[in-house]
Amino acid sequence: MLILRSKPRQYLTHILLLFLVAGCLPWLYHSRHPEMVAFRQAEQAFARGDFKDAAEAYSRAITEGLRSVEVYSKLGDASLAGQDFSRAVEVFRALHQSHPDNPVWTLKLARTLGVTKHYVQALKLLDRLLEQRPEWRPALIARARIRTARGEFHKAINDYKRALKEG
Amino acid sequence: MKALSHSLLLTGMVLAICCPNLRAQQSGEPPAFGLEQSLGLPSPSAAPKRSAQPGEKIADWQARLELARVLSYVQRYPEAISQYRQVLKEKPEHQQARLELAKVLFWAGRSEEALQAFQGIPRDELSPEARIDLADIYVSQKEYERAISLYREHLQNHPEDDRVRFKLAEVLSWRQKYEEALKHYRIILEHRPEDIQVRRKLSRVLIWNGEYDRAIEQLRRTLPDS
Repeated sequence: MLILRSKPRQYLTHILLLFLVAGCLPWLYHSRHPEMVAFRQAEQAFARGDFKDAAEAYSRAITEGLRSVEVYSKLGDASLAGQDFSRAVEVFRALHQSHPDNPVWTLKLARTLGVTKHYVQALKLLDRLLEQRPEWRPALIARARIRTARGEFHKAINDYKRALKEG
Repeated sequence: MKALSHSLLLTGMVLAICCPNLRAQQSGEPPAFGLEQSLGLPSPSAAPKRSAQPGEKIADWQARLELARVLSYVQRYPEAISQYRQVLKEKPEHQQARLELAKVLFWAGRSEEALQAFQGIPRDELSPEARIDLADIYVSQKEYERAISLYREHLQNHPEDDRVRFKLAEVLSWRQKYEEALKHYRIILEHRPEDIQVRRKLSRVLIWNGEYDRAIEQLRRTLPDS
């Protein structure tokens, strides 16, 4: 350094400091935003189809402080896709209980209960949902699927036809 | 000295970028500045909100396909066929729907239409199960050689499938290929020696082949007092 003239020495110092700062930034971000790092990992894992990894990472993001309804919902979706049904039910039940007027969580909980063959509970939720929104298509189709799984084919046909507005 | 002041200025600028994010993090708010994007990291305020849509959309054709299936379960075949045709109008490339339509047409006794529907599906895209359905349709159309060829092809890959071997044995016997039919009946009986119906079918083919003594012996084995 000493043998360089002042201008080149100045530029060299700038460059070195720039490298130092650039090197520190990711570390700084990781240490200050672990929830976002986990969320990013979860999103990437979900996009890859690694649903178990995604669920773990969403869960970590929540533990690190990213506690939004949307992240919980994604945790539920990833758990369902990763076949961790008990966690999916737990997450959607919590969302449904905290937002009982939001039909989306009721529908998601009902669908998950349907997947886990808790048909009676699922139908009860869907019946209630359809009392409030009689022509809500996703709910009609969800109920039709559950009725099909229960062998209630004629009722399922009625739901499908209502959903397709052919009833 | 000058270099140091420039460097400090640079560092200050970087910290100015970072600080709003750090403060926001501490207060529990989403970071205000797009540092995440510059680092290739997600924006916390934007990304998670995508799933807040009220239930994902289920396309008409998807619901219609499910309806067609349920209609076929309760043997309301004309309605099921009509629904399948509407699905295929919207999704002509949906080979699974075409395949299911072909099966329902066959169950409804409309074999020729079923065959036409099957012929619209590339051979490579037919599952082993679908090939057997196609063979069954060929049998109903009395196109026995085509059926035999499909059954044989299936048995090369699934020699343990006695259900298909039984079908092949029957069709072979109708084509008076008795020796081959007998061979297949015997293979089935090796797997399930207690199956009376298969043994009786074997006996009948033995009779058609003029092997009366063997037929008597086999028939006796199927009777309770033997």
